[in-house]
Amino acid sequence: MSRPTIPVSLPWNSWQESHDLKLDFPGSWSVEVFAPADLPEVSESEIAGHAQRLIKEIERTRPARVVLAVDDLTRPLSYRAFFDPLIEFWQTHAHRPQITVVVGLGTHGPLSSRELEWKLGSACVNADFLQVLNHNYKSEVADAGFEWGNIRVQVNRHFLQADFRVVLSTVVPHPFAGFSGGAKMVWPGLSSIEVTRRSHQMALMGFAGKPGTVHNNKFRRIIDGFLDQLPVHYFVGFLTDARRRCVFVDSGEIRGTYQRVVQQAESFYRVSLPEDARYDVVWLNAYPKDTELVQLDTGFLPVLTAGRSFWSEDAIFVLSGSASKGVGKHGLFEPGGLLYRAPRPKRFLAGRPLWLFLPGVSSKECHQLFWDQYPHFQSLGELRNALSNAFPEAASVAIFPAAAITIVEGAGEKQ
Amino acid sequence: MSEAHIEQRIREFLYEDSLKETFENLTEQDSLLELGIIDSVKMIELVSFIEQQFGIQVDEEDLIPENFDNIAAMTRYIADRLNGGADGR
Repeated sequence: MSRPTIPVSLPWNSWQESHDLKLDFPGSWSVEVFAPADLPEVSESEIAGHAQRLIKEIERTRPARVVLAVDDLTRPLSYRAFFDPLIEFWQTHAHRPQITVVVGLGTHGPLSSRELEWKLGSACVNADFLQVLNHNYKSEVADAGFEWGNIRVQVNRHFLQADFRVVLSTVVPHPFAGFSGGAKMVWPGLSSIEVTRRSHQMALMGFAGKPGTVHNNKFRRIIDGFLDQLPVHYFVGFLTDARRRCVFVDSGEIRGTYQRVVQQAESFYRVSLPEDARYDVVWLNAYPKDTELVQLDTGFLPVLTAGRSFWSEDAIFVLSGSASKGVGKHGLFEPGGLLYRAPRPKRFLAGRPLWLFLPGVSSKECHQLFWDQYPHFQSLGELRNALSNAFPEAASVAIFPAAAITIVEGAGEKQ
Repeated sequence: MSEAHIEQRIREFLYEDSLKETFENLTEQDSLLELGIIDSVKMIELVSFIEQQFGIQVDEEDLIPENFDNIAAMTRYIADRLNGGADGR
């Protein structure tokens, strides 16, 4: 009698037709799953309480122009529960300021009307007394009045011209900023492509930035310093779980609040692995940044943040993601982008194979961004058979269902 | 040490790598990052090579793309440091 298989569910296709991808492994294998802990979801009334705090602050300071900068779909949470009470208040308020909501895209693609509704809620998107804009790094930037190295820093003009600037961010681990959000929403989220390019150059050349930690992180130090040149007046930070549910929120002055949110994030997104673990298969599911090929590299965060190898000499790495939006948009890294390079083997894998389960793209598209010797699978059955052939007897598997927001214990301690 | 000599040593270091054939026609203005010749790991080796080969210490604030993204910039930076540097370091 054959042994039963081991079932595992992966969250799949963030923001789109989200569902679980069902995997099953041979019963003779050992399978361990590593994901951020399940915490109770923050209630909508608690989120509304933070919106009320912001309203009080705006009422107290009486600005003429308010801008609220939010992140795009590469960050997992909807802000509907935050915007609904704001809109309700302003709808009936005679002396409301001029209000702009701008999506800090960096050089990512703009959100469609439908996607804006997912992110902000329909009440916000359809309110006739405010404007909702996608940041345009080409035409909507103005000089911020200072330099970074040999470039003039340019920032979204609506953000620059406002006299009360609010940033809303979902704080998740990031490959070089340590964690996303806070000042990074502005630099490079609301900046010109030159700022974005310099940010990534500094990181790619190893001059600034670390994955999964803000401690001794030069990139974070630089952009936090920019806040002295261009103040942000209020910050609202959120944490998400592996199912895109809000599990923490805080708000207030940007530096202190961001620090408090990151303190929570450092422990919340971190997983511990057995000390002597050496897995034969390391499966990295790039959720919740799984819908665009250009974003899938974030799925390597558990590997990049681990202070040590947790894989065997002959390990196979699997990177999975729906890639349902195809190659996607990134002004720097998409084919033809300013920092696009012909793909090469990943140095950190030290010659080990990387298998790509990306059913939303063709092999030709896949290999525009991943080395052509890395096999591309579109069928889960073919991938399952290939893994069984590679390990006919038994194998140990480490699965990271939300790899794009998971850091491995050791991150932050590795200097 | 002449700038031509400095440039030659940098090219030798880069060409020792497996990328030699791919980038034989590299000009001194080509971006090493954009051509995929360097990444953060290779940059650590390159900075270490420069420090040992030319007997200088590369300070943290000098680690910026303007000094290291192409052979001409590196040559200028090293020559400047060997000559005492504009800022006297």
